[in-house]
Amino acid sequence: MQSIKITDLTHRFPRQPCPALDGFSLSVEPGHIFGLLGPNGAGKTTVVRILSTLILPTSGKATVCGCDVVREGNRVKRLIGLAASSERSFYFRLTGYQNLEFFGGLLGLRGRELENRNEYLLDLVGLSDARNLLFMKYSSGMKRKLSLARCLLNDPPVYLLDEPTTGIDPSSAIHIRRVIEELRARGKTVLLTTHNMEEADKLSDVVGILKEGRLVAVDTPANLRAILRNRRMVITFNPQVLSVGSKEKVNDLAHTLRTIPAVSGISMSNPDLVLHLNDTAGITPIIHMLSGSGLEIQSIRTEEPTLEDVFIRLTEH
Amino acid sequence: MNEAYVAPSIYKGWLFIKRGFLSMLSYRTALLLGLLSGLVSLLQFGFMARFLSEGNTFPLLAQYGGNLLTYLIIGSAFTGFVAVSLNSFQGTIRAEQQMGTLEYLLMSATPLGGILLYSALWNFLNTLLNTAVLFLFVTVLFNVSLSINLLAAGVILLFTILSLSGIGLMSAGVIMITKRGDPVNWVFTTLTGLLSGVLFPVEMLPHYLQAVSSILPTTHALRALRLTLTRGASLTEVTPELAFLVITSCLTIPLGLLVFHLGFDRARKTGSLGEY
Repeated sequence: MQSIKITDLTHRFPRQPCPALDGFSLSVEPGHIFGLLGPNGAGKTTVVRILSTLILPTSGKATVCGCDVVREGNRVKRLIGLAASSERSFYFRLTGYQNLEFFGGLLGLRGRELENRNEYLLDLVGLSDARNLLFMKYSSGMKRKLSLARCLLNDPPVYLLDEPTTGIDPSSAIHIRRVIEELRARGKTVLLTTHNMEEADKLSDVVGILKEGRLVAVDTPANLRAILRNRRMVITFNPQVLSVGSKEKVNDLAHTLRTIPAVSGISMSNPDLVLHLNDTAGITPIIHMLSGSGLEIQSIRTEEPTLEDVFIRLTEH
Repeated sequence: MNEAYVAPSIYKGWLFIKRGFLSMLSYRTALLLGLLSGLVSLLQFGFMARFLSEGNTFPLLAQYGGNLLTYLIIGSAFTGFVAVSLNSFQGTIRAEQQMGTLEYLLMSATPLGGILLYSALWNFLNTLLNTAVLFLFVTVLFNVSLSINLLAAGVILLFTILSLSGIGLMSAGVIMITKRGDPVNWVFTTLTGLLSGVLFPVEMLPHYLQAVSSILPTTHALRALRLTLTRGASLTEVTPELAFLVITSCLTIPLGLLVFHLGFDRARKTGSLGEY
């Protein structure tokens, strides 16, 4: 049984011309991290909120571990942990520990069990030292960590993490990613929405790209990258050379490079010249042409397509 | 306003005014109700001024112990219970929405009805303690003589809270859709203040308004409370008022739950549960 299964889900918000979700389908296997990517307004948060039972879908079906999110809302709530993207989701005048104690109590934890769980989670997310600090004194990174700790309180099998690392410092983001990886190691299922392509690439077993309420691609990050089938060659010129009037030479070089069959496109990004290469073509003619140009080249490197390239390709057209 | 023709400080002031005005316009229901509230307050002050000008000599005051101060204090304390019964539920929803915690409370598999009830417990307890302290203070300070039937007053208060809580639940259901400016609450708070005999006897009202007053649970609750607190009236003596409150509770609570669930489902459909 899939941990999350969504079939033909549609949701329309009032007074919006287009549906937020339009025949959206998805399934996530147990123990997988599913990275859900999409531009702002694509419907990622709507998916998360429907799975959390906070929004009723207009049509379609969504289940968590086989339980219907509409008809079996209370059972679903016990199966999921939600960490939404908003920082405002705790009681400002309670400490981090007191907040966890309150929410843990509502989830049915009591006495020593609750204390131990709070201590463990605060330690896990790196907030042990800030346990007695009022929530309003927390930094953005600390707030996100506490949010992650809260969704772990009752140790559910499925986690819905809505942009858990957006807007926080790299060190906090790394810490949060480590916790997410630990969840996978413990066989938990995670639906992760993010704008950070590198994060999605590293963490996700499967990535789905959402555009205007529909999934336009679902596959492993490696297979998605393979969609583009082309690499890039980045040629960096010596900036001093460019500043003393060699721009025309560079333009001429670019013009000539276009004639090589291996080159499918060229873009200038001073001091770089970026060549988009066909998949299997060799680069020897390019190297010959560069060495014969007389321009001082600082470096040449080839880059494989990134998930970001795939994302842009699939969402911008 | 064209910023090219005015001093920067004036233009900035204009920007703040414009911001406030646009924000106010976005809450249209609240704006309309706010204007109407001003008019009703004027009426209320008018009736109250007439009542105060007659003071302890007002003939109908005799049935409530003949003391203007006692009359006003009970009315004022009662207003606290009315406010908490009507506002507690919707206040809880708005407070949790503003804090951003409402959705997480719901995620904890605690029914929204339960969240409202648990939050309201503190509000009721707090009001009860405040009222008790106020009564004690006033009784000692102004040497007011009260003859209290605690059991009868408690029962009346309980059914007052129950009947008004049904309306409070309706109000909470409406606020989940309108977000601010709830007409149900406004109508009831306004009618209570003006027509229930809080700060002046209902007998001062024109006959057609007295008719409206007689169908309000707060009118009956206040009369019964005054009798149990000033004359030590027993439950038997306030049976008509108590019966009215019990019947009202039986009507308002199911209706309140219905409206509340309709509002809740509507907010879930529109995805506006956490919005305020």
